[in-house]
Amino acid sequence: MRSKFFIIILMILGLALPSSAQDNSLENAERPDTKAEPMKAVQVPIDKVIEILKDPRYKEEEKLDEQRDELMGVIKDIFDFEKISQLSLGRFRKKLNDEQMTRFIDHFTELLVDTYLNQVQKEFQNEEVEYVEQTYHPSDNERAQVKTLVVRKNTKIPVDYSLYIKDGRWRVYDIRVEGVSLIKNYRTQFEKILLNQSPDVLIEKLEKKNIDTDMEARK
Amino acid sequence: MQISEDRNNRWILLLPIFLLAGSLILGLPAAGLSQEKGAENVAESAEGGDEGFEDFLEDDFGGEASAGERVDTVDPLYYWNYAMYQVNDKLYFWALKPVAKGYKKVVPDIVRTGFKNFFHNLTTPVRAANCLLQGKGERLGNEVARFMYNTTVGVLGFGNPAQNDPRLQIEDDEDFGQTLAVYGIGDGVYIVWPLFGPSTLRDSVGMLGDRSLNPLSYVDPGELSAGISAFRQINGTSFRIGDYEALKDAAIVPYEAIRDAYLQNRKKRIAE
Repeated sequence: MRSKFFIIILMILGLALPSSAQDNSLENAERPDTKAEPMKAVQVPIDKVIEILKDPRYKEEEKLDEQRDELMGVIKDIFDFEKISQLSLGRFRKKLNDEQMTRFIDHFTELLVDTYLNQVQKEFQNEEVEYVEQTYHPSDNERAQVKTLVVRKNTKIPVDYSLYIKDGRWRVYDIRVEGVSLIKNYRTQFEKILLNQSPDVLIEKLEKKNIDTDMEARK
Repeated sequence: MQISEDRNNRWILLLPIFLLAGSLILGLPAAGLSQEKGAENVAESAEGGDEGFEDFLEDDFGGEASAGERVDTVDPLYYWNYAMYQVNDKLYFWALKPVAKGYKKVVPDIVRTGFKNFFHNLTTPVRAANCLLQGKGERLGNEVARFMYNTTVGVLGFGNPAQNDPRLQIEDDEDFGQTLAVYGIGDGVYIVWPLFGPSTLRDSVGMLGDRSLNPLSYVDPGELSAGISAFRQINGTSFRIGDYEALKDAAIVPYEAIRDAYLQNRKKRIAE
């Protein structure tokens, strides 16, 4: 039922894409190229991450920082942390002024990057990634979703990436692991705080969390 | 979540019975629950608009939050739930994790995987019955075929030869909570159980239903049955050490993060 629905959507998109591409041809002269492959936009950096994690050069303890920096470069390139931060605030976005927003984005980005890197560096178990399918948004062909499966020993974990086109390039604005959306999950947490407290309280909590994580990592 | 109209209507008659059953079990006033159910319907109709593409959250790109989002934050049992969340957290760090860690150190991978396969194979009746109740014929066939294959060639289910057959892949385990959801029953209140962890009213009723089909529940005496269940839990945890910590580490408000993760994950599994 569900897969049939996707096939229909793909068929409609397959028919609709060329005409809409023509409509926008003036604005987006170079886009059809990048637009063609959201899956590729995910696959290239993720494969790169796995390559770096497997790289024998980084096996020694003192090389971990170097590996971390290289990973960080790849991650920051594909994930749009500014967008992720804004979407995670949901409707409370408006409660933050520009200065608070900048600080929030900085600290939240640090939290996400740190937890992600700690996780992959410490827990990497030679997982492999299968790239399953890409789907375009029904009404907006500048948004797409790429479904992948992370294969760990005898389990497969579904990880889906939501992407949109920013400055002519696909960037990730959400990940879903086993159906759990990152931005939705943080949104419920942030709402809990912002409902009764000021954005500064939230920013302080993020800041403190980052300091704690740093201390933990240095132990 | 897709629910066909007439299906919904037919089964809505059963709803009061389940709510009543649920409230008797939980000792909760039914009045509070029916209110909750009302809110649930609002959430469903608000989210019904974007079909399978709810993945691209409607309000992602600057729009207003939908009415449904408000309802997600309803948590009438918060004080009980929060206390139980803390109990489970301590149970995990003080008891379950150290035991599972020690167990993992001593018991070889192949044995742990064997037990995991064995328990999974043993609980086939639960999944098969729920496939049947949800009208998922193909998946039911797969469950039965896997059971036969793994019980014979896999030696009582300790091996899992079926996983190498691409025709017998099953991505999702069906349970009675999902079956009830397919029949149109909403989540109900969010409840955290000591030992069992996050659940909802509907999924709690589901858990009881599944238990009646789980051969382990019929092991006599009861202490042995509980002991086997505990062992299964430890064996299972030995594969997942670090997952709970990761979720908690990434969170700013861990209780909310876990609640939301549970609800989102269930929603996906019901849709599948």
